[in-house]
Amino acid sequence: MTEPAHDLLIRRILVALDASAHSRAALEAAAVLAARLDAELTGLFVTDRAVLRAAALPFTRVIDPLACAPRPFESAGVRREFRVLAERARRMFEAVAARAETSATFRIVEGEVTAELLAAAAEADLLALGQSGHTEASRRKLGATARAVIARVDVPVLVLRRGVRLDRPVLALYDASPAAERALRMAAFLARQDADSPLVVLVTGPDAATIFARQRALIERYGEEPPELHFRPLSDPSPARVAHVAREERAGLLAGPAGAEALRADGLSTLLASTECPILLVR
Amino acid sequence: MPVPPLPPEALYRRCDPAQFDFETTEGLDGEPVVIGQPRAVEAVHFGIGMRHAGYNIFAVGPAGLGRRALVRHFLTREAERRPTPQDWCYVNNFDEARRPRALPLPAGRGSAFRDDMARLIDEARAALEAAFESEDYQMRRQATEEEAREEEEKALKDLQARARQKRIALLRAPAGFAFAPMKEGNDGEVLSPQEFQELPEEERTRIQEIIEQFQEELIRILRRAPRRMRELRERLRALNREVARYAVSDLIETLRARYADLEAVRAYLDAVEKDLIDHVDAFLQARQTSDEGAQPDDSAAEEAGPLSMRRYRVNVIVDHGSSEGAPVIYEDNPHYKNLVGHIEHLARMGTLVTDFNLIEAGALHRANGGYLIVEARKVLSQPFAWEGLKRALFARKIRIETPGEASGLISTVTLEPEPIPLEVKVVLVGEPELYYLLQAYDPDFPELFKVMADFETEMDRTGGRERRYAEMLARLAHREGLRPLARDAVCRVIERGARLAGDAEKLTTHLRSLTDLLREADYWAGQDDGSAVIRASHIQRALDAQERRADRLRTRMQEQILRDTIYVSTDGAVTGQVNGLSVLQLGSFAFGKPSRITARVRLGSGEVVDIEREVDLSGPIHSKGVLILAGFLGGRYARSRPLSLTASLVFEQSYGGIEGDSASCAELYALLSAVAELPLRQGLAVTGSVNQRGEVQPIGGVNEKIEGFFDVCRARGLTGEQGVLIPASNVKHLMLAPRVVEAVRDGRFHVYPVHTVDEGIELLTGMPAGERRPDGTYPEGTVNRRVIDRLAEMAERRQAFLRADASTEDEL
Repeated sequence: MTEPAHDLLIRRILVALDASAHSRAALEAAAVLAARLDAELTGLFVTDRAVLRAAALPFTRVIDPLACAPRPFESAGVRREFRVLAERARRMFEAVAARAETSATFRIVEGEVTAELLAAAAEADLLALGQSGHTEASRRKLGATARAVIARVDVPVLVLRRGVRLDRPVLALYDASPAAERALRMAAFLARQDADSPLVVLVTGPDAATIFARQRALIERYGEEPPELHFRPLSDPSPARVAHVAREERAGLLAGPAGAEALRADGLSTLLASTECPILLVR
Repeated sequence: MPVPPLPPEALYRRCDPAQFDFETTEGLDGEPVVIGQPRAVEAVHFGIGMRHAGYNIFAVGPAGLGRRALVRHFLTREAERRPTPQDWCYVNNFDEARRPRALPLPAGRGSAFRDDMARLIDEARAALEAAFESEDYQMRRQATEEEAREEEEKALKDLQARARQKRIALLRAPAGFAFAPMKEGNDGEVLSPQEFQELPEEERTRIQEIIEQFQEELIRILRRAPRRMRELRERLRALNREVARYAVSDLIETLRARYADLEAVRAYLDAVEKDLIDHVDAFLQARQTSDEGAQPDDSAAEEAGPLSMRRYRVNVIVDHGSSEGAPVIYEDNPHYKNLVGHIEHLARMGTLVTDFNLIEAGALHRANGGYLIVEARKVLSQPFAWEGLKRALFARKIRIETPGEASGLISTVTLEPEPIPLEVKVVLVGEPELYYLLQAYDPDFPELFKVMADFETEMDRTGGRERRYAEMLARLAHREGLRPLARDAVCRVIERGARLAGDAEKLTTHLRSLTDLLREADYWAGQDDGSAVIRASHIQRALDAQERRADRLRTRMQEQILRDTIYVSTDGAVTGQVNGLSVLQLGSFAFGKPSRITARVRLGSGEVVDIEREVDLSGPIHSKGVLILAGFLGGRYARSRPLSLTASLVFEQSYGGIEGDSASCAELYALLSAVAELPLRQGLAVTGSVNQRGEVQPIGGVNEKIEGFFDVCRARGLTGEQGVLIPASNVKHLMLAPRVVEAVRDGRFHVYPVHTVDEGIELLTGMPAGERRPDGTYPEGTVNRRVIDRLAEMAERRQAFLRADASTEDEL
């Protein structure tokens, strides 16, 4: 587990930016990882074409949730607002990238948000996403865009609300699937970077015997190598239970297979709502 | 018959060793160190017994009498019988932090309560943390939040879905929501303006109307958001309170049961519980910030955090946990802060901050319910201390405030701790001058210090008191850790006690002098091959050494006399000249010094000129003495004709002032000698004052005066003709040094007790004074006769002179 296998090598990290607090957290986390993994950082700001089109219609109004009143919706104004947002995102990106001392590119594209993100992600090895954007009504839930992207993306995704803390324990959710293996190896690699942070493996399985066997197998396979492995058998891999363990361990990062129950759409939403730990979804 | 000299026994009243049944003072024991103060003891007892306010005690007497030791002895004995007072704590006032609450607890339970509270807060913290991290709490919190948001989200989703059915998209723009018509098909693309324009007129209007309806609906949904958020916050707060109450109530209940008997503590615990619950949000926030790794300085969080220990600490300012009975406190440094207590400040970030934890008790707090001993001089010399003490005694409350606040000069916001009821008996220890000054100038003083315990400086030597004195010496030696005194040493110290009292029939009660003497004697006993006891020889050595250390000036004086720089004759006979005796007091050391007094007479109109007085070197009492002797002169010798002389009197070679009337006798002898032209024996020195009837009256410092003249005579060689005339009433004061007593025993020196001027002049001239006969004359060959004759002669000469004068005038 000392080096990630070739299929886990991360050279390019894509971060979706919309100048919101969550996307800032995603950016910082991506920068931390980029610095650790010596990867290149790409920032992407998508100008939503649907909104631009709507603004071009003569009669449309925009309803500001703060003022609760309709006001004219016109192209020039919306474009200006997007430019302001993009500019803020760019400044934020440059500042963070400069601090992390990684090579970095910032791009602004116009189009349908999910599609653009997926297209850009296809060229990257990891996608970092804020759990919801600046227009979401509920900030604690997984946003519609994030949900759509996560469902369709091929590369590992890091979803978060707050930053990654690599000086805290790294958690790996393990169900013996190939994706779980990859997630475990990636978690181990990250944990190893920081000599002091332990790697806690949450071993799941249909029954105690299976969990025990999986744990045995892991010890046999990786027992000799750093980092030090701690095991927590998890007979109930529900999102609430995983969130509880993450809180208890004060986890800095949770890695796991994208297909696990706790990490699938609704589960992920719950998990994100009840823990502040960033989650790395591996396929 | 001339007056016979005193026998040596009269010069020194010995202490009889045979009266003592002990060999050394080892094991000789008794109660207090102080003796000979029955009046003060009675007063102290009375003062202690009087429970009314204002019956505080002022122990009056010069320093060194053991006033404090005596007072403390009786107070301690009384205090043991009295109940141990309450402990006092200051605790936070949760309603108004500026006014900390004072909490009384039975003795010893204050510190227990403090520890209980510290434990409670530790446990409450842990319990709160556990409760708020529990799965249950997280679930309930999430459910609450969800519930609150669900409505809006559901409404929005529902709106979005209904719009979609009518092919209207709900879009999120950078600054709000917008509705737009969609194209046919599933991908939901928004119509472009051209496509929209291409729609039929009717359709366009319809779409616009639908969108307007949706917009209004959206506004209605969004408008409800603030109220929902407020409700959510309220519900979350209620949840937090509920969880917090559950977490801490059991802990508090345990304490409440433990302090069920104490109403005030129960009330405080209620306040603590309420405050803990009220502040649980702040606690959660503090926990979150520390979780986030912003890691505020831990100690600062500890100090200032809303759920910090400080807030719930118990500041025990008076702890009687280990006391038995009432306290007896002696405050050595009674400045304002030390008396009434004070509030400390901490410097934090450049400002001074304080809270109830920084309240410090003063001596009044510690002595509350008991006794406080303070030295009057110290409390009076400290700024504001006296006023502070009086204010507390009047109010019968201890209010901690700075002198600035007390005088209304400073009004910065600081703590105003709840005053603590005060019940204390204060004993001031001070000199008589202070007592009388306070009586005269401080109208509050008689109100507050109604009991005067007046200390004696001497005690009677009679009736078994020497035995008690010996016991007191034994205790002094024991207390000071000195060697015991041998019997002869005890006798020597008792004799010294009489000498210090300046009276053979009294003993000094000045404990400090005695203690010093014993300590020094102990030192000399140590030098003496480590003697196990203090002997008389050690006492004597200590006395000699004391004298030796102090007598540089006396030696110089004597040297000047012996070298004839200062003229003092000690043999022969001279007219109009006599040896007077004065005493010089240098600190605690006094010595006598002979001075030549001369008188000259000439024709005049009857006045006696005191040269000292003419040049303002004479004190009023000395002047009075001279005027009295002029009165005596006129009354006895000039009844029938005017005094026709002018006499001048002078202390020769005196360059400082003269005070006292103890030389008036000597001056009278010099004057009589000058008038009668009879020489006076210079081997004798004279002391004593005289009244207008010619009776010799007692004076002070008789021992020093005799020794002063004796030392000069001895240095020149004792002739056996030398001696001192003292007033007969001073004989009881004689405690002369052994060297004098010895010389008297050998007949080489004499002390004559004189009752009248006649007895004195007889001794000095060797000629009888002469008794007045019924016809007013005196027999031939007497001093008085010679005086009368000489005065008559002068009167005649004066008259003749005046006549001659008058006739000369007539001729002119």
